Amino acid sequence: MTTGALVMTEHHIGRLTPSRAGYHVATAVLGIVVIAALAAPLVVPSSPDALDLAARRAAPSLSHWFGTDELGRDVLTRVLYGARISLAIGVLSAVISVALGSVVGAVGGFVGDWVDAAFMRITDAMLAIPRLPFLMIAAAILQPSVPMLIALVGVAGWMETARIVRAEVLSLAERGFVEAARATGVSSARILLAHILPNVLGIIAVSATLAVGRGILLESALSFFGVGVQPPAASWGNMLYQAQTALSSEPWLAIFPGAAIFVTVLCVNVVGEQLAVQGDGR
Amino acid sequence: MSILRRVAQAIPLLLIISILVFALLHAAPGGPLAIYLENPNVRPEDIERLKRSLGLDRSLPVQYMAWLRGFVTGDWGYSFADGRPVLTRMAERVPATLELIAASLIIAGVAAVPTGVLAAVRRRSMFDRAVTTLSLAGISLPIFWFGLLLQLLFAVSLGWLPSAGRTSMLGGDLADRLRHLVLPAIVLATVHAAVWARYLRSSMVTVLAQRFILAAHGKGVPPRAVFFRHALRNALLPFVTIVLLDAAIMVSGAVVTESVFAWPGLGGLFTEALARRDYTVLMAFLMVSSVTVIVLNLVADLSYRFLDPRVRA
Repeated sequence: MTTGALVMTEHHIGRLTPSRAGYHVATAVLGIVVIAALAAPLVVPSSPDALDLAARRAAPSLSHWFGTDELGRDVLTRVLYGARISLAIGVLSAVISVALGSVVGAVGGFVGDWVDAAFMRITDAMLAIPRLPFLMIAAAILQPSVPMLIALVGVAGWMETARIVRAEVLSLAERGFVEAARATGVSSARILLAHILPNVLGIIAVSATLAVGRGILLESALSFFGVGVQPPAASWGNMLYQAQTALSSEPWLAIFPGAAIFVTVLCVNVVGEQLAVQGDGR
Repeated sequence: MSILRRVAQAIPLLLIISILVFALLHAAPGGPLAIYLENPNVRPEDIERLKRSLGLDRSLPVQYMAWLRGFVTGDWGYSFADGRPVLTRMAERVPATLELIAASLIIAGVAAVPTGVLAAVRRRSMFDRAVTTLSLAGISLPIFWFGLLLQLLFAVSLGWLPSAGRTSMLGGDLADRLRHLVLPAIVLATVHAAVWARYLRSSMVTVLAQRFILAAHGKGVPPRAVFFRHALRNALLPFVTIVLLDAAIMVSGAVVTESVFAWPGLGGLFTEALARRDYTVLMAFLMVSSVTVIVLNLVADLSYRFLDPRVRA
């Protein structure tokens, strides 16, 4: 509570040091997930909407590794194609969040005064509004397409980045090299862009990684409640939404898409931790 | 003085939040009347009359002021679903949510405090690594999926615990209620337990590295006393504030948990209202949960000042 912030976030919470091995495993797994998603047509033979009416509600087997759903669609295929949408929403929403947050944080921290005060109060207010319920209502109202969903999740996630970028800019602005630049007549805009910004990039990268994990979780939650990605398109979240009704008879419908979310987000978070530790030099 | 200032700081926050929530309500197609627009039995002239009687023909700032006054005085409008006052509908759901949150706080505390502290004491041990990994896993869990898995395992496969609801149809005694409470409380507690273990570990590591710990050892205080009286006490101070903050976050976290386990609390009301596009209920929930966050943040901040004399100065 020494930051003067009115609403606390995950960034106030101490970091742990994951092992190097964990980091390498996480990177490898993420690489495999991304490549498998991009190369889905090469990895699995059929299309995600292909029906195998002879093998409806089939348990996992050699011909259908993850089983099939009530229409006989292959779950592995849908998990891979769903990865494209889920990862795209995670990554692209993170780009929006981090871009917005960096601008708000950098401008607020650098300009200071009432601009900073106003920005920070808005940041606090946005942080206090529970993110998932807010997004669920917005998505129910807008009935968003995938690009719209990306924008929504992105716009709802800039506050954490704004806060840490602002704190970093504030501390950098008092350092000698910034004062030196100012003394030699470098313009404010140039000081911010050429001298301060490069030093904030590490922190922005950590923030972006965490935002990717959060974005994937938010997409899956929205789709799980039926207000995110709409069927027949597959996303990890809406596969779980459809799995709920047959949980006891066809548990594989729930187990595999959820495991995909969990493993991916865990790997993203492990990578984020490692980036943070490296950046801290601790 | 500084306490008054801190309280005063919360007011603009609440105003910004109320403006955002109001804007969201009016972004809905048809605004607060959306539900009537879809009803073929409601004629256009009825809509006009409703608009006038609800004041929706006035300018937005005027409407906002009226809405805000209503919210502050407990007039939260009526639920589209059953026509009852929103305040009444929400009030009857509060006990179930409080019960769930209280149970989750206890479970998270019991799980996180000993593990976090022990991980700090046995830093870089196997145990520490396991706690590190588990807590990262805890934050990465999609909690609705975790809920489904627990249902599958403990309700469907093993049949040990009920999968949904707050009581059995005929039951309702203490044992029955506890059995219903276990799974949702664990699901809601997991993420927080993970965060708390992380927090306590790092807080304890920081405290243990400080000079007064060395000084205490040096002047011959028994290790046990150093640990409990000097280290743990200082590490737990900031932890109290985290617990308060997370209690507020649990109100909205309960949306997912209560939906998966059909728990009849505020979160369950929220998802019911979402399915029916019952906007007055949705907005009231958003306001209540945001205000809870602001208020508990304030309480956390003030209690920290109270508990830690160094901050009071």
